[in-house]
Amino acid sequence: MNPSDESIPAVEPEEERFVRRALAKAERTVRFDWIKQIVVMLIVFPGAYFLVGSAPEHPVPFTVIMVIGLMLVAVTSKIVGLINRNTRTILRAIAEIDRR
Amino acid sequence: MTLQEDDVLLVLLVQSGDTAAFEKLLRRLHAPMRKYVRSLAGESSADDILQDVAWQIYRQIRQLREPRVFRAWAFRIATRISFQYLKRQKRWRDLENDAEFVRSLAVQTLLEPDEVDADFLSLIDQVSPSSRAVLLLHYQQHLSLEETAAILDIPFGTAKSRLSYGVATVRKFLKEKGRI
Repeated sequence: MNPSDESIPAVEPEEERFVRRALAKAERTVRFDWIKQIVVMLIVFPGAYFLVGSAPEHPVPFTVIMVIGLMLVAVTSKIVGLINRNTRTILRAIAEIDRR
Repeated sequence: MTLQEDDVLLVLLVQSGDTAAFEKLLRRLHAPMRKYVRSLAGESSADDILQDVAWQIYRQIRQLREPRVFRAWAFRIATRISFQYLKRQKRWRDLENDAEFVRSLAVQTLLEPDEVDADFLSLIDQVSPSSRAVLLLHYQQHLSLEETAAILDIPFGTAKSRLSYGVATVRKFLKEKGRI
C-alpha cells in the first residue's frame, strides 16, 4: 500500500477543516523557516567575512566568501533533497511490497 | 500490514518531507484525538488545541527517533497542550490534594474497560484533569496502565492511584445523581 496515495473514504467536515487548517499552517511554517534560513545566511556570511576576510594576514575578498558560502548551501540542500527523495521512494516501495 | 506498521511508514515519509503522508497521519489521528481532547479540555477549546497539536507534531516529528511510538507521542503532546489550556483558562483543579474531598470518597476497586459506559464518561469532567487524562487514556482510548503512565510521563503507581481516585470520584457523583 502506498500510505500517501490510498483513497480516502468520505470524510466529516470537521476532519476536513482540521486537516486543511493544519496543512496551511505547516506550509506557512515551511515558508517562514525558509525565510529564516536566508536571513541567517545573510547575517552569517558578512559575519564570517568580518572575522576572517578582514584580517590583514588573510585578505579574502568578500565576493569569494559569498560565492563559496552560497555554493556550500546549494550543494548541501541538493544532497539533503536527494537523500529525502530516495528515502521516500524506498518507503513507498516497502509499503507497496507489504500491500502485495 | 498492521495500523502501527502503517503509521511507522507514514511517520518516516513525513520525516523525509512528504506532505501527503502528513495529511494521512492527521486524518488517522483526528477521530481518537478529538474524542480525547474534547473530554479532557472541553468542546470549546478542542479545535484550537487540535490545531496546536498538529502544528507541534509537524515541528517535532523529525526528532521522533522511534516511529513506532508515534501515537503515544502524539497523545503526550495533546495532553500537555490541553493542560496548558486548562491552566490558562483557570480551569485546573487538583482535587487529589483536597484531603477532605479524598476522605469523602469510598475505597473503590478498579473497573474493567468494558464496565465503563457513556454514563460514566459523561461525568468525567468532575474529576481533576490529571486523573481525567488517566481515565480517558485507559477507558476511552483502551490503553494499558503502563502505556498511560508512559504517555503522561508519570510512574506506574501514580497512574494507578489517579485511576482509582478518578473511578471513586465519578462513582460518588453517579451515586449523588441516583444513577447507581
